[in-house]
Order: sequence, then structure tokens, then C-alpha cells
Amino acid sequence: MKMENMGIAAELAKKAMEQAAKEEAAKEKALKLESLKGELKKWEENAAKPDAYKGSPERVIVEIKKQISELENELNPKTVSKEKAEKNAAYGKEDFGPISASDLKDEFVYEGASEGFGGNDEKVERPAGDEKNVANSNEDFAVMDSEVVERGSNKINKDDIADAKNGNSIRNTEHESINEKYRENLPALRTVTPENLERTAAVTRIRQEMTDARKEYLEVNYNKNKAFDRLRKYFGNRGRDEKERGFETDMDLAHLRANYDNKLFDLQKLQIDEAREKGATDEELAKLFIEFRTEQKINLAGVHDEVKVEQQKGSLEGFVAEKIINITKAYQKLPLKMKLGVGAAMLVGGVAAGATGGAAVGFMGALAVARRLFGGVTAGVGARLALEARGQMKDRKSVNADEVRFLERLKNAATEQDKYDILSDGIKNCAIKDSENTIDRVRNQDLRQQATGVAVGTFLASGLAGKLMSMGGYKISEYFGWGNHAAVLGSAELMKSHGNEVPLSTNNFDDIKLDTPLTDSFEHPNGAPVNFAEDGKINPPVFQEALHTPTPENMSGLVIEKGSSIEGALNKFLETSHPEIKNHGATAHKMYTAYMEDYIDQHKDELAKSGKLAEYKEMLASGRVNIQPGAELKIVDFNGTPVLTEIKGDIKLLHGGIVHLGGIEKLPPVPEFNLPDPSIEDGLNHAADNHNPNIPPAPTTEDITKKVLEEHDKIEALRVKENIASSQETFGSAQRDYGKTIDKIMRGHIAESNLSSQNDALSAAEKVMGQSADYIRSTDVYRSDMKDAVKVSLGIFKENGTNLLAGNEDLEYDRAVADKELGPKLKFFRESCAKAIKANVKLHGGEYVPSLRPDDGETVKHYMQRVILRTMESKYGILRG
Amino acid sequence: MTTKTEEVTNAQSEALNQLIKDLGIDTLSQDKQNDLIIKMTEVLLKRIFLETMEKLGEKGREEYEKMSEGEVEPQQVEEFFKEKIKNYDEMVQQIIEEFRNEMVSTNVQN
Repeated sequence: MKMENMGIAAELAKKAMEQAAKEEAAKEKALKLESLKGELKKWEENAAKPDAYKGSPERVIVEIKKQISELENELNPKTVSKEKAEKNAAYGKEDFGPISASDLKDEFVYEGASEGFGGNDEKVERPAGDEKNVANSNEDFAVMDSEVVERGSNKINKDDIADAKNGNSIRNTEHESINEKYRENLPALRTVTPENLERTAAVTRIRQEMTDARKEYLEVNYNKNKAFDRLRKYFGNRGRDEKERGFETDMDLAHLRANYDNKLFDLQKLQIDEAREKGATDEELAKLFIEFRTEQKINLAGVHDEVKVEQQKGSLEGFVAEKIINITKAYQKLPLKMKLGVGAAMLVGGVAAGATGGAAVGFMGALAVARRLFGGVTAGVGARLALEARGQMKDRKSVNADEVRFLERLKNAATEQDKYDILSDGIKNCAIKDSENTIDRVRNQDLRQQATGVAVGTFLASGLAGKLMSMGGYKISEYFGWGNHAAVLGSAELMKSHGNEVPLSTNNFDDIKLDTPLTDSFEHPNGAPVNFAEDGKINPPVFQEALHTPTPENMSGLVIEKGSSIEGALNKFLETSHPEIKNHGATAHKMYTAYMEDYIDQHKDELAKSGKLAEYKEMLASGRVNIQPGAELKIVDFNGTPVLTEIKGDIKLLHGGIVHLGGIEKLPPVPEFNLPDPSIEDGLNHAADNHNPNIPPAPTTEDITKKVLEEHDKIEALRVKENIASSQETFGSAQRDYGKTIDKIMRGHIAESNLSSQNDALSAAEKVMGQSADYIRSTDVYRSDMKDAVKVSLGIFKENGTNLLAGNEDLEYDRAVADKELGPKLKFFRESCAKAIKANVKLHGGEYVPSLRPDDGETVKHYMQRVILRTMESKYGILRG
Repeated sequence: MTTKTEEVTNAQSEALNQLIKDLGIDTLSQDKQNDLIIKMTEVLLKRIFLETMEKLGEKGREEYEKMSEGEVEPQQVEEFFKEKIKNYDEMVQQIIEEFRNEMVSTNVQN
């Protein structure tokens, strides 16, 4: 019976959790929807301005609308039953119609963005005899944003509810939209902006993600350490080497840890935003930091223990979990004063006095232990003396000094932005660098107790074992550059304090400098930078990459590979070495143009003398440069900004078709051919005079010229092929940059001040894409392919020598499709092209199949041209997504 | 003249204040301080219990389970733990100390 009740309770709890999760998810969607609508308005307004960005704001707008539509589709079909949808249609209302409880019997779905009425137990006070239970009856349900609450045939709108809350009577008004009056009755809602709505949703989401990430990390860590423990027992006391061999690689742990750190950082960043909005003082900022830090430690410790309980097998499993719940409940039921008393008595180390009272008896074992400890202090011994005896006053002084320094820094900050930056840096240190090494202390506590005389080496990658052995079990963060200070101050002292003499001072431990500035600690021990993503977050580390990432000292050796271009090579370099840079393609382009401008400026006379000035200027303007494989680019890092300082190797203007400059089509310069030397020619002719029939005739001048031209064509074709590949690479990179910018715009609210920089980024990406695509379109191979595509396409329409398309070219596509003969052909044509495109196109965010739907009123001819063009662009990798 | 209870209360209060300072959370609001102390205590209670159960072993846990089903005085439980677990006091002391080390550390970055 007891078990049955427990089962039912568990089921109910599970359902409640599921419902809460659903509610939260729907709420987030609704918040996002509202946010997107605000964003759409902003972009539409921006697009309407005379000085608006002239690139493709419509792409952003289309994307926002698409997302709005998707969200509405996700929210509406579930919230409005078919019957209700029909009713709504009848009322001319598209969405958010009235819903009864029966609609939601199977699945509760949150409908709107607003907070407010609709709580399950919301009961509206009504004058006597006219009371209506608005929600939570069998048939009625309060609706957040639908504005209408239905009860049988009565429909109550939110104004009624608001009025009712104010003691007024409910009106039976049908289906009114939300109005200002309603909002006025909810003052809190008036201040809700899309920004803070989104932030609220984001905080909820990230908090959950962080919780999951933390647990996942600790679970994996627990299991790995268990494995180590088993190995240790197996090998007995054969020494540390055997134990270290037991560890394989901890790459996945490192990955999970980085994931957790990132979530933690995200969460705190949102909190800073909130503080910023509120205009927090220096002291408030400091408090925010301290509170966050302390909570993080507590949560970490708590989850560590939870994981441990969950991982227990056998009789410990259910029993311990149940008892722990009881202990927690019993503790929580205590009066505040007593809870604090227990905390004080326990947390100061079991030395304080402690009459914890009768309620504490219920704590069974744990509190009995506490009580035993509490009782050990005589009345004459003050806690202060005890604390002093334990050297804790030193801690206090340290805390004070640090706090003063921190506040001092805040006060000395020149601007508000500087203050936030200081706080943000502190948090970054806390979340990412973790100089206190909290997470490692917590997760290693079990091992510390067991690993007497054993260094808990953690191998991150087999090739790095030698270096890492010296760092001990605490030093994952050390390896990533998260805490040199912690390495010395944290683990060494901590280990010592627990009497575990762990041989930390092997190999490179002495290299860790106590006076290393915190900022320096972000660097990889081997000199490679920590892999920071945007916003200062750390990407999951990839060690081999990190080891081979060029450092400022050896950045100069960037060699142009076959098929690559200057900008392509720069882009590749930036992607791997500077992930923190937002727009790699645009940056590569800027690096190139800055170099060329400088070069032309400095070598103007020299270039003019050699007749190359125009060519160089054209290379600068068009970005079309032919560079030989093996040429070298020298890049120097100036305060984090990569600068192209030298191109070692010949560069020439890239030929191969029509050059588009400023809309004027110019033919490219005629390729230079060196005719055979006349003396050789004479010699050959002379040789022909003495022809021996057994010797093949000497080639004629025509033969040689033909051969030379053939070779030239081959070389030229190869060069064009390589250039096309390079242009495709550049196009793809720019397109990814474009997509990232769009995504960024979509994700965040771009302040007006930042909008122009985003627009610049879009323009830069578009320019690069345009140049790359123009080059490819200008090549003979593309043109030839295009002719073939047209030919094949037209062939589809020819049957028995009759061109079905003839005479129908100017028909509207939609009408032509209805034609018996033409329709199937057009369908086949369209499907063939769609297939071709689908096979070739992969864009950011997954597969993307461009719409091949004809535009309104589009003719068959125009539609076909458009589809063929897109198919060709797809084939050549220059299709805009 | 203060009574023993008053002395205990004073010592407890002083210890709590000291702890709050050691944790570096004395600048936070009173409510927030209390909240954090309570959370920490919960975690510590759970940890002590968990470690104790682990050390008891399966047989010991069964005995404990039987014992806790009836009326039992805390002192009896305490004696039971001391009997079953070698250096029980030291073990608990160590848990508390380690927990404190996790919690009490510099909260401010330079």
C-alpha cells in the first residue's frame, strides 16, 4: 500500500514536472515570438529609412517572418482545436481563440507571452450570485493571451477579468482583442520589453542547460574515476606509472567541462545585462559577482553528491536517496533561526557551541553527528578563539583585502563600460579560468581520500602524457590555461592540508610562475592560445589543433596551397587561429586590401616604371589575384589583430574572362605569347632541307605554334580550374560569414548603434560573394556549361520534333502547368532541377533547398531561365542561400 | 551574569557572523546571506550522511535501517556510528573541513 502510494506520488510528480517543462517550453516560444515581432518591426523601420542598408535587409526580414510563422504554427495548432479554429475563423480571428478545458485535456500548452491571469486557481471575485470561476473547472480554462475565457456559451475577455479583479462586474463581451485597458491593470506588464522578455526566457533556458551540463560533466567524471579506482585496486601498489597508464584520455571530460563553463558564463552575462539595465552601483556589481560565485560553489558541491547517490548500486541506492530527502525536508522545516544555527555550528568546523534544539533530533544519523560535534564545546570557549586557533582570521583578512582591491578597481574605472568589463572579466575568470579550481576540488575529493601517495595523473591525450603527468589530477584547468594560480595555491596547499603528500613537483611544475598575471594564464602552456569563441567563451579544446596553431612568433609561414588564393588562405588561417574574429571572410579581404594599398603606395614609382601600376591597382580593386602555389604570406599579430605584412612570391592579375569593374564590362588583357625564337625557326627549317626518311620530319613552325597554344590552353584551363575552386572557397566562406551575421541578428537584439556594423558585415560578405561569383560566371567553362544546360532543358520540351514550348514561352507558368501536354514536362523539368540543386547545396544550419516556386505572373520562359541559372549556380557552388 | 544558553547563543551568533565573513558574503543582503548558509548546510548534511552510509557498508546500513524504524535517540545513533566506523569523529570532521575549503575561498578576483 505504501509502495503504491509512493508510486502514485512519483507518477504525479513526474506528470507535474512534465507539465511544467511543457509550460516552460511553450512560454519560451511565446516570448521568442514576441521578441521576433519586435525585431521585425525594427528591421522594417530600418529598411524604410532613406539611409537604410542597401544590401539585403529583406533577407533578414524574410528570415524573421519565416521564424515567426514557424513559431506561430508550433503554438497555434496545439492551442486551438479544430472546432475552435473553425469558430475563430467564423469570428474572423486567426489565432489565439477561446479554448476550453476539453481542448487541453491531453496536453497543457501555454499560449501567450504575457504574465497575468490564467493561473489554475484563479478565482474571480464576483458580486454575490454572479460569481464565475474563471479557471480550473472541468469545462472552463483561463487563457493567457487569447483574451477570451470561455465558459459554456459565455465568453469573458481579459478586461472582464481585470475589472473583476478590481471589484467590477464581468461583462459578457465576445472576442475582444487585448487592449490598453487590460495592460493598464497590469502595471508590471507595461515595462516588459522584448529585450527583457527574451532575457527572462534565456535565463531560464541557460540555467537549465547549465544544470544539465554540470551534471553531465560530474557523472562522466564520476564514472571515469570509478574506473580508475578499479584499476588501482587491480594493480595494487605497483606505483604511479601503472595508475597513470590506467587513465586513457580525458578529452570528453575536458569537452564537458568547457561546455559547463560556457553555460555558466552565459548565465552570468545575462545577469550583468540586467544589472546594466538597472544602473547597478559598484557595490551592487561586486555583490552580484560574489553571490554568483558562492552559489556556483554550493550547486557544484550539491550536484556532485547527487551524482554519487544516483550512481550507487545495491541497497545503498534507494535507501540513501530516500533518507537524504527526509533529512533535507526535516532541515527545511526548521525555523529560520535554527536552520542558521545548525549551519553555523556545522560550517565553522564543528567547534561552535550548539544547542540545536529538539527538532534536530529528527535528522537521524547526520544531525546526530552534528549534535555530537555541537556538544563538544564548553560554554567558556568562544567561537572566535576557535577560529583564530584554526587560522581562519587569515582567510578573513585575505577576503577583506581582495574585496577592497576589487571595489577599488571598480571605483577607478573611467567609464561605466569599464566597470562592467572588470566585472565581466572577474566572472570570466570565475567561470572559465576557475582560478580557485573549485570544480576540480569538488570532483576530486573522493580520490584525495583514497589516493594516498599517489599522484592522480590525468592524461588528456597520449602524446601529452609527459607534460601532463606533472600537473596532477587538479590540472585539467591548468592545461587549458584556466588557473596557474590555482595549480599552486589551490591544489598544492589543499593536498598538503589533507596530509596527502602528492609528488606534484615532477617535470614542469617549477615552470608555473606564482606571479603570472591572470591574463597570461589564458594562454596555453605550450604557447598556443586557448580556443576562444565569440564572447570570450572557450570552445571545447582540440589539443592537436591547439598545438599546431601558429603563435605570434611563428605566424609568418603561411604557404599558399595548390588551388587556393590569397584571401582563401587568409580565411582558412583566420578560421583556425582567430575564432574570436566574427567575420573571417571580410577580415581576410580587409587584410588583403590593406596590404595592397600599402604596397602600391610604397612602390608606386617602381610599379609605374615597370608598367605594372595599373595591374596592381586592378588587383586591389577587383581582388582577383593569381598567385602561385608555394608562395608565402607573412602575418604578424599586432595586439591580437592579424596583419598581412608580406607576400613572398609573384602575383598577377587574374585573367580569364570579362572583368566587371564598376558595372563596365572590359575585356581582359590579351594573354602574352612568346613566339619561337627566329634563329630556332631558321634552324628547324634548315634541318627540314636535309630530311632523312628514317627520321621523323622536324615540326614546322605551325606545328610548334599549335603545340605551344595547346599547352598554353591546357595550362590556362588548369589555372582557371584552380581559380574557380579558389573562388568557390571564397564564396562559401563569405556566405558562411553572411549566414553567421544573419543568425546573430536573429538571435540577439541588435542595438541601433550596432546595426550599422552588422550591415557593414553583410555588405562586405555580399561584395566578396559577388566578386567570386562574377569571376566564375565569366569563365568559358561556366558559359559552356550554361549553354549545355539550356540545350538540355529545351530538349525536355521537344517531342517528335515538336517544341512544346514554342509559342508558350510567354504563358504564365501556373497556367502552362495546367496544360495537358506542357504540364507534365514542366513538372519534370522543375523536379529535375530541384534534384540537382538539392544534391549540390549545403548551407549553414543544414540542407537548404531554394524555392523553385514561380513568382506571381511569371512567364514560363522567365521561370525556366531562373531555374536554369540557379541550377548552374548550385553546380558551381555560388548559389546564394 | 550570562547563562549557559546565552553563552551558547552568543558563541553561535559570533560563529555565524565569522563564517559569513569568511565566505566573503557579508556584503550581501541579510536574506541572501541566510539563503546561502542554509543551502550550504543542506549540502553538508547530505554529504555527511552519504559518506557515513558508504562507510557503514551494506550490513551496517541494514542495521541502521532497522534502528531508525523505531524510536531512537540521537545519542544512540551516534554511538552506533562510532562503533561501526573507525575514527568516525575524525571522518566527519574531515568532511566538514573539506566542504569548508570548497566554500571558503577568495571570492574576489584580482
